[in-house]
Amino acid sequence: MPTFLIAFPVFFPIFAGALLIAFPGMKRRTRNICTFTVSIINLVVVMLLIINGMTMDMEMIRFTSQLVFAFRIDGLGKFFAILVSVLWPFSLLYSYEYMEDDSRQGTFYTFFMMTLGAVLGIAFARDFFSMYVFYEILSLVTFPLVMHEMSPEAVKAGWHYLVYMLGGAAFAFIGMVIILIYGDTLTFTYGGVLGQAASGNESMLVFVFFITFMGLGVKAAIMPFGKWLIEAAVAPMPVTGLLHAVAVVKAGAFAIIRLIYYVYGADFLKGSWAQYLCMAVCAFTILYGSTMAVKELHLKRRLAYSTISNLSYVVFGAVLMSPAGMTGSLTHLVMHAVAKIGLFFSIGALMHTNHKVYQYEIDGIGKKMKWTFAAFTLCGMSLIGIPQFGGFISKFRLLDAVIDDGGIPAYIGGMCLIISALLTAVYLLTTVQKAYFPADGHLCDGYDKVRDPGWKMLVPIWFSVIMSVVLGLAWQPLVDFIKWGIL
Amino acid sequence: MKGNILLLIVVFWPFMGAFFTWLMCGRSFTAPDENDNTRKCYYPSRLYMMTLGVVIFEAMIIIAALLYGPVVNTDAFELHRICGFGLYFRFDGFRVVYACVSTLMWFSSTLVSGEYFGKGKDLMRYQTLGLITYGATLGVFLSADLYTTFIFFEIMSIASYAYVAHTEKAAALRAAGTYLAVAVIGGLVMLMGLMMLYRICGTLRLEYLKEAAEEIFKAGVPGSLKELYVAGGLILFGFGAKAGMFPLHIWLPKAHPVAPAPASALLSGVLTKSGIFGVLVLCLEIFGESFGFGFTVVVLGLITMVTGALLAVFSTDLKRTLACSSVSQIGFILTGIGLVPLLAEESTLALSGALLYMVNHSLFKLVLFLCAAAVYMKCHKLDLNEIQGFGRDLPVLKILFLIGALGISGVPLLSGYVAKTLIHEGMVEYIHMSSGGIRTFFKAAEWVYLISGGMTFAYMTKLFWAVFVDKPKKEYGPVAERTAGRAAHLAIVLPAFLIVFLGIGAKLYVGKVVIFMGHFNTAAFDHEQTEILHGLHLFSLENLKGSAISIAFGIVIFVLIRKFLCRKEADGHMVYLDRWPKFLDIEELIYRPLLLKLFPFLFRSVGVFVAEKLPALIYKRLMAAASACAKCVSGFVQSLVDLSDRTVFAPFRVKKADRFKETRTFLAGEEKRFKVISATLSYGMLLICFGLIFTLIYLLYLLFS
Repeated sequence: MPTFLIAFPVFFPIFAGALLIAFPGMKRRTRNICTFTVSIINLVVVMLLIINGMTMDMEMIRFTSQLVFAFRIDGLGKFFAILVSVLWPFSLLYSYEYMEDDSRQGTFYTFFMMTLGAVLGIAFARDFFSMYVFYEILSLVTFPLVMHEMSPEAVKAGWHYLVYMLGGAAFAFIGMVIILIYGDTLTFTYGGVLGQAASGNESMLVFVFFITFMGLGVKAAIMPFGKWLIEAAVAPMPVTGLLHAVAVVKAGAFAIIRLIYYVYGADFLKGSWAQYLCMAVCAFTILYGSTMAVKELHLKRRLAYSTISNLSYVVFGAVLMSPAGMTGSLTHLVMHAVAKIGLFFSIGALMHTNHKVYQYEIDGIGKKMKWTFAAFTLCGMSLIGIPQFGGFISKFRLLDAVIDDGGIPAYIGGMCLIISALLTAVYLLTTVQKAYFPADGHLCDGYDKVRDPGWKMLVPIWFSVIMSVVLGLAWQPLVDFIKWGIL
Repeated sequence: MKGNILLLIVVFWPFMGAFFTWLMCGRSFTAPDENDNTRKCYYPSRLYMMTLGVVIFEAMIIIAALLYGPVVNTDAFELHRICGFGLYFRFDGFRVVYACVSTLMWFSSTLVSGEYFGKGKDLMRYQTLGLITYGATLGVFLSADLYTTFIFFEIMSIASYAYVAHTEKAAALRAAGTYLAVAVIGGLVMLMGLMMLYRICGTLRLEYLKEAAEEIFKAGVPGSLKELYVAGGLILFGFGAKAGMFPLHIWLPKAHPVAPAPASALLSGVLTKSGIFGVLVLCLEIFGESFGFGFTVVVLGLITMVTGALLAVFSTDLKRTLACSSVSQIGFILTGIGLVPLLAEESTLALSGALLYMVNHSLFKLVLFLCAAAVYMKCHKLDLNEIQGFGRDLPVLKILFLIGALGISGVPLLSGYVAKTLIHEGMVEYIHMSSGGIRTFFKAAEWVYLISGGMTFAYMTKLFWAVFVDKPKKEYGPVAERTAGRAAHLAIVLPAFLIVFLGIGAKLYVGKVVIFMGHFNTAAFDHEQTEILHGLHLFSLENLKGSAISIAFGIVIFVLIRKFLCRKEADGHMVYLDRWPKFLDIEELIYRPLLLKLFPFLFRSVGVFVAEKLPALIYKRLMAAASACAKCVSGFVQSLVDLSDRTVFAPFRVKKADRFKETRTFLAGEEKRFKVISATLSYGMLLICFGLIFTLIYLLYLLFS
């Protein structure tokens, strides 16, 4: 297998996206077929790489002996790349129906495809520098997607989004420079890269770790830097569903995992004040997100709050700084991605087909939108953590890591997880209850006209349901993969 | 996958059955709409037949599994790696009995529901989710690994939501919300406990758990002992929530009156028992000889017993009374189970009493709730004042209800008496064993036990009197129209017969049933214990005395009820008064305000403060400081310029014209524009970044110099 192939899935979608601009007059159907083909080709190449490549290295540009722009496929990268490239075609399929009446589809798909390349770039980056580059690219290419609607609030949200992202990246940049000085290399190495130069400067390094963590945490919507995610809920549903529940935000969590386990090394950080502070921030965000979600009646924003909370589960697992914590973190990364995309897409179907978006508008709607709300219920159960759905496994793993850690801060975090699970049940099941059990027979307006969406929407939604259930029933392969492939 | 494969089918057949039911009846099943005559394809009867078929087939599978068990010489079944830890089932004494009881319950309930619901709406949902609940319940009872228990327990909790919320009335939805909240909180707390237990003991298999726990007790390391107790407490919380243990009993009195009566029978008869099952496992397998744990369970049991009984005495609603009675009876069972670790070696009587009590209570509640169903489906009322004397001329229903009522009150010759006496015996035994303060406590507990028994008698008599003896206030219509159908009667007669049969044949059968039920995991009654059970004198004077005291109390309390909780109208009719103070509702008083008002308020205000207000504040201060600095600097420069104007450039001064006017106006405009941007948090962050970058450059300078 030629090594240059690693760069292919990264640059191919970016290139394809750029080509879409070159042909503005393209017909909708043609464009759909093209984008779908591109994403499928990408998926196939990624799969090939992952099945064939043990650990492949590819240097693209060498600036100095330390600053190298390079790709590599390792366990963690594989993990994230599979997740993203499998979900992409399904999201595209969904967007074909969701965006059918949109006037600026060309622009939309341009950036949508470019995002795929940027995310895969983050997954395959060999070192901190390359990851940083793609991190910035990701911020820039998703920015037009956020303000796609071009309404005043969308534009405002877009600008806020950009400033948050760039500000966060600035922190990450500081972290990178410090590592450049104190580390042996910038290349990700499990267990950390800090070398001789680090000794004596521990307290400064821990401080720099903390600000880097917060900087990367902006993408992972760590409070107090998570407000952008709520504002960005004005974006079209495929963007909110895929990018702001999986790709972009998980890239933040992914970068944090890289930072902790592959740059600083868990042993170096474990027990430092930064770890406890990070845990506190995560625990706080978990509760904050869930509580705000309970209050929010706009279903899309409610799910966005829920995303804030769930991302912190992932980060919380990571900052436990143990193999068990990382297992929990990565499991939740997958399970949340799968379940949340289903939830977002079901609400998107509700918005697109029936133009309802508030909780109080959906009395009894589940009896008409059978397929959509059955999926919503099942994905919701997964997110709450009802056995044997996927979300249960990840929460189980996280709690396991908490008990494994055994410290008081970890237990407090564990308690927050449990309280948050309860709040999750409240904010998801009240919606389900409204949809299926209309109080005193009161039905929503236009109940007769309510209908299920078309197959293009239902297939992705049900794909996520099936994945939630299957991963919940047979999660051993997943955990084995994390155990043997990554740790 | 190994062992008796039939067990797998026992557990999963109802799930498959639910699917088949949906397949067979789903298409032709659209809800009836009175305005729409085109929708003709509506076959509830087919749905009932299908459900009934599934249950009957399940009964056949259970019998087959029983017969087939000895052939393969194992009563266990294991499914590797499914759901991670694998699933593990057993089919020994207690589990067999409970599988049978559950099947009987679902059979009867389904039989009645045909007539009860008629052509109601959303029956498909009710029946399929009911079958899933059925399968999950069997899964709980057959599980021999706490992880398996947990999985099915959760499925059961969620699926049975449809039972409570079925009518979709506002009250029902509220109660269903409570039910779900209790189930979810209980489930999560239990999960935490199970994981801690797993960490301490290294296994969740019941057959190894006993040994592992014993070792920990023997080693006596305070740290791990403490953890074991914490884990035990958390698991007890989870199972107790489902069982209706105080203070988590809140869902029972709310859920039962609003759920359809056939579903209430199941909720109260079987689903609460699955919680009891968990407590039983804790007391038998893990804390087998722990005084502290047993004592806690006994105390909670006593409180539950009294609370439930008091609520029932004051209640004026047929099904609500029965629900409160369930709470109280669960208290009796918990007391019996709690005595097991206390008595340790001598626990035969208490344990067999508790086991028998479970079965009895299932049967009683089946009979009573189905009687309530028979009343409700004819007059659609449950308030005692509105169904007064409804059953005066319905002899069959009257007798059936009487059997249930007397059985649950522990009247001799019915099966309730036996179980109650056994637990009482256990208690007396412990009084003899203990000394000091504990002895005094248990002497008091004995009286509480007897008085609660009396209260049971009193409120059951109250119900019977109200529905079947009091003179009716109004005409209810002809008897023929008010009599329930044959199927419904059959459904009630079956368990009623069992109650009488187990009561009269106590001497003959009870010992055998109990000894059979004693096979639980690795444990079984040994020879000595069997002897004790066979040598019981159930109808000895001593035992009859306990029952007599109870009934005497009951009669007194009943008289008091007639005196203080009823009012006689001028025309001779009784009016039942609801004298229970409204504010004494633990759910409305504590839980709901706490969970729905106070906690969210606290979280939210803290959250908004920390995540939104505080950064904004800091940013504002920073901006003020920065602008002050900027003003200082620019003022300094400006003064320099002014100074130079006056001194060095004085000769060249053209006029006192503002050379910077243009710049100033430009800046003023910019400042306005700038304010819009600068008022955002993100901008503040950007500024901080700049500051940090300067710091960084300085750091780099230090490093490289």
